[in-house]
Amino acid sequence: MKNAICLLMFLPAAAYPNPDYPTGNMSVAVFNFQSDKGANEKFGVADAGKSVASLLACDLSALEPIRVVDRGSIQQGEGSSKMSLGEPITPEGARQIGRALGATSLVSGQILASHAQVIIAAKVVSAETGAATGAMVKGDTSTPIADLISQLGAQVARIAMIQKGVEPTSWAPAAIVGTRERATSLGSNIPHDEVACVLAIDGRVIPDEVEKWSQTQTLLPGFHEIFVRYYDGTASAGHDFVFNAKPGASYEVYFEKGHLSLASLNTPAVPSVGPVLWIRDQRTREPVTAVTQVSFGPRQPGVPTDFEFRGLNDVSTGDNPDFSRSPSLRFK
Amino acid sequence: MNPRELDKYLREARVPERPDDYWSEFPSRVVGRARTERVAGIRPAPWRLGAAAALAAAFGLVLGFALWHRHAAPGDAYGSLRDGRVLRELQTRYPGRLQAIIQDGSGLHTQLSDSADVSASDPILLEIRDGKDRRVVVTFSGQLVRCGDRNVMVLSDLGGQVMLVGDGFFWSRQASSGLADVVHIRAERIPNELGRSKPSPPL
Repeated sequence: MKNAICLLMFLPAAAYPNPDYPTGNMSVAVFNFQSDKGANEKFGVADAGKSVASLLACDLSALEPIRVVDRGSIQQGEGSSKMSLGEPITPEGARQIGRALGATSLVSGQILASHAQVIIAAKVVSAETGAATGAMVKGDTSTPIADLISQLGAQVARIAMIQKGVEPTSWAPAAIVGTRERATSLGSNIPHDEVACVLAIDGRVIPDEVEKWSQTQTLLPGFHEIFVRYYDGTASAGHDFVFNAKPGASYEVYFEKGHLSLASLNTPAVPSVGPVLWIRDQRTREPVTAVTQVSFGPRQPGVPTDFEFRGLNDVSTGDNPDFSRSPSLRFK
Repeated sequence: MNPRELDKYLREARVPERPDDYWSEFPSRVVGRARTERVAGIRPAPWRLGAAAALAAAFGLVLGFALWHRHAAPGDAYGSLRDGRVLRELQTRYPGRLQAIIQDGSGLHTQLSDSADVSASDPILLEIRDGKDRRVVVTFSGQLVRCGDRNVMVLSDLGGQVMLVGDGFFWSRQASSGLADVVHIRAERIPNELGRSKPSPPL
């Protein structure tokens, strides 16, 4: 017994768990980024800093073993927790905010947008030591904002792991493909293909998307806006979905044919019912987006030329975006 | 006196009366004196010796001055800032208080916090040229420095790249925004042998 007590006394202090910072728990608090008028206009939102911070928090939540502090408690200023990239923070100040939010790393940042480029810089402060490490991503006008934030998320996650003394890891991209089915129309024996495929990712159009329905498209882990197209050889329908792609996951665009009625076939005034579209996990077959009934359009669906990442608006309302929004996909 | 008169004068001259031992010692005295006068003949004149000494002293002074100033030259001061010698010395002197070391036209300055509350982050060396002004700043990731007419946050990333971020301002090797043409920046992370101080585990 005495020996056991002596052993306990001589155990290194690091061997005891720290109740404030449980071993292996990497919890990141993302504060609103600073943005100027140019950035708000560029992203088409009222507060680009808030939107980017919310998106970053969403992306981080997909990167195991990172956990993300609820953005609501941060925005409500719990524990007088205010932080900005432009203000130095003392180790004691970082500890206080970290304790108040239950965070091990504190993230703040700044967005600089001009007509030619977008720069997003982040400061990641250890809530244990106050040590600050930077991260940045840069893109031009053609770089999807979703990819920029995804890349920033991976950098921030690695820093958070290092600040906790954990070996940093890397996260594999996700993948998405389309689906095809052989079908015959009502009242006809001629078979035809029905295809649901990826039309565009974050505004980037995939040329000849129907022919390339089986071609795997990669997605960096995090939030993405996927434009999908359904085509049955004569009619087209489209929809855009916003969802959080998990690292290494495989997804597919899936569809079910709309239930046609004889009335719609015989009466031109009654529009034919379009397909039901959604994106699902290929392994579990569980939907990762809303299952949405869409209408056939008069022409081929296309991506708006003034595309604005819908995730910026969706995510800023909370950490669980509403997937059942009305479709914003336009028809050419 | 012409040569003929001289010849006549010498012929009329008489040998002085000397004791016998004088003449027996005479050759050795002549040889000894000749040797003495030969040595004296090749010695520099006293003024030459003085001039040489003065020259050597002046050279010594110039050399000393040059060496002294070589040690205090900006290049070498930059080197001692760059390799972290000055940083380590000042960190030891002001533990946890050193925010920045600044070398500018007026010399070397330190920027200290009132209390030991400066985070132990990566040390960084910045060289900021703003027109004719040149400042070398040693600071840490997460500290503010003056760059041009604004305060900017200094950060280093996981790869050791340095970035400066301010209101409408960004600079790194890869990209910059809002940077005036006259401002040129160089930055690098300093090897810090003191290392990051890890937090004390709870007892």
